[in-house]
Amino acid sequence: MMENSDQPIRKVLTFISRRAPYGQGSAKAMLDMVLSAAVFDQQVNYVFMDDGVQQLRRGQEPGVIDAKNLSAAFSALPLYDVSNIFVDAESLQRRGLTQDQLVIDTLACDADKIAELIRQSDVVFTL
Amino acid sequence: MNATLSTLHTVNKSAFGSDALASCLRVAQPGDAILLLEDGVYNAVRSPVGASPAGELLGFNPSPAGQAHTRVRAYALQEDLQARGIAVEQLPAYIEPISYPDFVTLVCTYARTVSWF
Repeated sequence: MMENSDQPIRKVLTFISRRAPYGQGSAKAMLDMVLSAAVFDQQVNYVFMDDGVQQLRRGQEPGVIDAKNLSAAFSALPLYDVSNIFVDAESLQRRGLTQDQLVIDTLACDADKIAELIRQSDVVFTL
Repeated sequence: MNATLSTLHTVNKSAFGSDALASCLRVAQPGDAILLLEDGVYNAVRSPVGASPAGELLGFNPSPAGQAHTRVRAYALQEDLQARGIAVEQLPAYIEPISYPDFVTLVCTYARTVSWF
């Protein structure tokens, strides 16, 4: 790589979110990390897997349990130029979900695709 | 296999109460390595039917000791085994017990680490 202090370093960062939205702060923390990385112009892959797919389920009303709704924040992802949003098809299927029941447009993927994303990444975050 | 292009996966939960190991094994590729640590070391123990949860999922099934495949390398952290009363002799041949310094070496050897928890 050319040493040039004017050029920010651009890395491929893959974020694998595997937890349901409420209960722990994992989902929100991951979303914050993704947005931060995007602000710093990193190449971001956002992957939802296992219970992580529940974050995207349409019709959530977390206000009734005094929790914050992440759905609005997810719809802001395109504004941050985060478009590589993947959802593990098997995780969806096992939970009786389909892509059209999700709050945002996603790219369906399988385990091989996730493996490929990992292999192309400089750093992988899981939460 | 060039480890500099491969991934180290760490698993720190038992497969009996978490899908961490199963999900890890879905995406682990030939040449990758899996390190079992903390409660993840329970996955290394052979169950009454012969195989360990890790072995079952890795497709290593009840073969005689020594007939290990090497699709994915598997390690378990010695201190975590010892703390939980798991003797090295209870491990299948394809799971290698390693020390903390070995852990550091693994992290430095592989291109990236993915932690499943």
